[in-house]
Amino acid sequence: MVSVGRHKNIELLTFSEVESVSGYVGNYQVKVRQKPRYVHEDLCTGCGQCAEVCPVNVQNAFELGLNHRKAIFRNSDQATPNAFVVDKRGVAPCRDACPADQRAMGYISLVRQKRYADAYWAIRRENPFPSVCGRVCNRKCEDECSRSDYDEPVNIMAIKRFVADWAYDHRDELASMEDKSRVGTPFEKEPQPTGKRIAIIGAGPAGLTAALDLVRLGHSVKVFDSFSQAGGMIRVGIPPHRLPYERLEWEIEQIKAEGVEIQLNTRIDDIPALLQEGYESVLIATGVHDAIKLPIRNSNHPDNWLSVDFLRRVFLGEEINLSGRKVIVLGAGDVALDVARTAIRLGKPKVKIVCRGMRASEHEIKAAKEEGVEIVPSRVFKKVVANKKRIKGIECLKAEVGGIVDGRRIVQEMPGTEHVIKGDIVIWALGQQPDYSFLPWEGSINTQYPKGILADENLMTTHPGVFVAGDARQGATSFVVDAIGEGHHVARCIDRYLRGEEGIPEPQLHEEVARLEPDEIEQKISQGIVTEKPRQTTKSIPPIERENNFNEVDLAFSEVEALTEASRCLECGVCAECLECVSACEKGAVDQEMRDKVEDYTVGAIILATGFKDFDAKKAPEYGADLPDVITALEFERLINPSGPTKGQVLTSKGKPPKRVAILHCVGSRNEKYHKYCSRACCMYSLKLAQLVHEYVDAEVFEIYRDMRTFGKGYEEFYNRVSDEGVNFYHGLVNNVSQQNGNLLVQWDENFYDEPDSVEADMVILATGFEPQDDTAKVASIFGVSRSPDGFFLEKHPKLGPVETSTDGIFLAGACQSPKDIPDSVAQAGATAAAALSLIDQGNVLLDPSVARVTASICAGCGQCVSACPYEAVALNENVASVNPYQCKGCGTCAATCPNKAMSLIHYEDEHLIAELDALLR
Amino acid sequence: MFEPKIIAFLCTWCSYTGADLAGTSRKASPWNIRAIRTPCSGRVPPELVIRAFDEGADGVIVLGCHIGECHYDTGNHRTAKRIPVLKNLLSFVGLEPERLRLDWVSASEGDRFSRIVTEFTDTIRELGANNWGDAYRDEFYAALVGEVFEQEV
Repeated sequence: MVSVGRHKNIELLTFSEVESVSGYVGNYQVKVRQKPRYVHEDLCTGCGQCAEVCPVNVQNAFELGLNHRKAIFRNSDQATPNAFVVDKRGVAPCRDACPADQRAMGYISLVRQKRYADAYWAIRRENPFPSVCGRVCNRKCEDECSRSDYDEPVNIMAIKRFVADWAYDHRDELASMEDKSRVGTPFEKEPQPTGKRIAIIGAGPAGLTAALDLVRLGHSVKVFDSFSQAGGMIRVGIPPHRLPYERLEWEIEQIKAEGVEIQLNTRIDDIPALLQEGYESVLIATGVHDAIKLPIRNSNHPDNWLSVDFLRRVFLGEEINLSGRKVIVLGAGDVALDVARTAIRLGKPKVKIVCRGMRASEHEIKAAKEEGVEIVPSRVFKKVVANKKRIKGIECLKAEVGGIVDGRRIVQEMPGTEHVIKGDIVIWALGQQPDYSFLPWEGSINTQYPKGILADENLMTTHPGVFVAGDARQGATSFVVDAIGEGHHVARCIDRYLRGEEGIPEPQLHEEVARLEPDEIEQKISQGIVTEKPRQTTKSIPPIERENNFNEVDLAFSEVEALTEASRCLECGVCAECLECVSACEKGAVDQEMRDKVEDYTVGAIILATGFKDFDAKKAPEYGADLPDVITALEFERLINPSGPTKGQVLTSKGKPPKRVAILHCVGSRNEKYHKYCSRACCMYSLKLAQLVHEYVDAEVFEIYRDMRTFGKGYEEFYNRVSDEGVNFYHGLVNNVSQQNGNLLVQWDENFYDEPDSVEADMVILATGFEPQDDTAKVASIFGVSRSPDGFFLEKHPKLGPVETSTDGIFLAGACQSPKDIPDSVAQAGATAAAALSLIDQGNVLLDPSVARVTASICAGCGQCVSACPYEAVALNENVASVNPYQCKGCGTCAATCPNKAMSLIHYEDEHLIAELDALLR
Repeated sequence: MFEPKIIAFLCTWCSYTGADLAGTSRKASPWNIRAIRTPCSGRVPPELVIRAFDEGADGVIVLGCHIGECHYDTGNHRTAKRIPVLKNLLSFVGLEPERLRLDWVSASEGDRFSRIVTEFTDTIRELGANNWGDAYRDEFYAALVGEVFEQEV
């Protein structure tokens, strides 16, 4: 095999499929689809370092499921080509769902292996804010998680937070480690400074993500922000009891350490001036920071506060004491809850949320209620009641609240239910709108209806060189992951703009998303590959400990919880795409972006050597294939193989070497119920197994045979030898294998007189027969080859054309033609090679002269022959049919169709057929 | 006993090979079958079938590859349309439609070939000799020509 792989005249196309074949003998066009192996064959040395670091274990099909292998694997050490393959079903649905393209399955697999640092790098590859997204996220990944078809989705966000917290706790350790987060990204190489300067307005998640990417690409970036702290809405909008400042600051420090310059307390009002100053590109990432207030009566009273302003004042350090006040928060979303929970921490005022219907996460609502926030739903506010000095409350109507349609809630007011909810501060948290006052006055950057800044598909605004990303582009709030995703996107766009469309291209869309079918999930869980345990949830500190402080409320997972939760992952994609293999490979051979490759080959002859399939013993219930210690011959071969899964040890399910082994012949062969034919090889391999068992396992062997077929050279002698060694041969057709007294009882019919009809054994080996491959019909139709009644490919003639097929130039070798043993396969393959060689060695092929021909003088030009031809070999030229003799295959359908008999087929002309007919009917 | 003359049009890739297989596997087929090999069942023109009856064949059987297995992709699709139409016309010219049969035999179906031709031979044997005699034929042609003549006038 190795010498074949190395031969200079042999090109091995492994992991490939033939899609179609056209042409004719000597000149076949073969379309081959080479599936991506995600490893460059020419670079891979087969050292196996990638498999060592791969976190995913799957059943090893090569070892017939007897042990596990990694997602990046090689069937055996002798594999040809000796390169690894990545087993990838597609992109895991969690990654596909994430706007930031987070490799959720990747870091979950690494967590399961307790490789938290690697998991952290896997997260940071796409996300510079793991701590933030581990705490506040809308968890689109969990919505798509396959596990929700079984019970509940994996708690991906909590696992991420666990990893982020572990990283924060070990930050000094991490700093001394090799940063693997750039491996496999466009930032892998040390950047060449480009000398281009970019200004980014807004140090929020979108702005900082873009800044980091651009710096990593060699540009110099300066980020401006009008606040005194960087972080944008995550810093001034998310309360520290959900996201502690020090976590965010650490992450921003890391961004700064890579060379991003942040200038705070600077409001940019003149974008064209920035461009004139020498910045070649400007990114607007200002977010939306203006809360909306309804124009109802008294809504301009000074005690009407705005949500975002209030939060900003608190979080940027202003001391506000609300003790003794009654706060009414108007709004229904996460911001309203943040406002209420922040207000209640400032001196424990009475806080009521008045709204139509809450639309925040259950977890947040529960936490707010625990802290003493009162929620008053089903209300429509009419006016703020106030005297000159103070607000007295808010007048409301009760309302019937329906579902949400197009983002708006359906509300039916109930007239006559006016009442006043008392309070002296009203905080408006109904939503935010952008402040576009900084855009140039002359209108060179256009906004768009109904909201947002107009941008093309490359996120460039109407002003050349000025880009926009994040909430500012949409004019509405979205989630942190969305902003991070858009930050990456805009960085690619700016890079391409600055390099004249030559920067990093947009990544290819995920071609295939690996979703699991419910029965596959059941199977994984029942096989114990994935734990059955329910979803782990995070715990919170008790409400009493939350009073008047901003300590973080939700606790991270303990290590045990994180490991349990990680082991719930179903590993939909098989390959987790954590890119550990990429960083482990010293040759750079792993390429996770590889795609299918379709190539056309022109060949003179084709040899089919597609082999056979082992008969599935489970289809024959009488052999008890489901019982423990009943194994197939192939499984036994793997067990006794010194490089197999057990290193050559054969043990029963009780862990002891077997004492009595029964080998059952003709499983699936010579039986009307399964296959009528004899599989030829089983008798002899059963004898070989008997000898192996005798020699290496030292057990008593019973061969239950129907007829011993020892037809080859030296075979009968081998049979006699094995027989002399003391193997027991009993004639019989096995009708039942069952468990009896902890042993296996094999019973049979057709026993010879004076011979037993049953035997007890502690291991049963089934000599399974040969079957055609499952896709034989498909392959036969692709190559135009016939099949015999048993399903194997049909040779041209059993005696005179044993390696040819009825299609010229297509040959057969091996067990795809009929069951054979190895000597027969080798002999046939040799004959096939000779036949193919003698065909192509001539340098030219003789085409069948039987092609269609036109008698032009009587052709009426009706064109029926043109439509009859399956090969487009006939065409009408100036109302006369003409035949392309190279394309014509000589079926004669046109000749039979022609109403004028102008078309005829050489050697099968009408006169010939008529003469034949006349002779036959004389 | 009456022994019919039967013409069988066999496509070379499937039914002819199938017939061959029937022979190599020692399956008995009636000797009444007189095979004409064509490259494809699509090569069998309807006129030739009529001609066979005209020359005294008692039955005609056309065998091709199964639909979807044609060596020429779609040659047998034509046959599948052509022969049933012809069969419907047979009674019009005074022949029993049962005397013409279309069926599919693949290269691996030696058994099937032998079964089909035996069956068909039995059918024809029961129908008796083809009495599409000269008189009847002349009458038919006369009627046909007359009709054409009338139309032209």
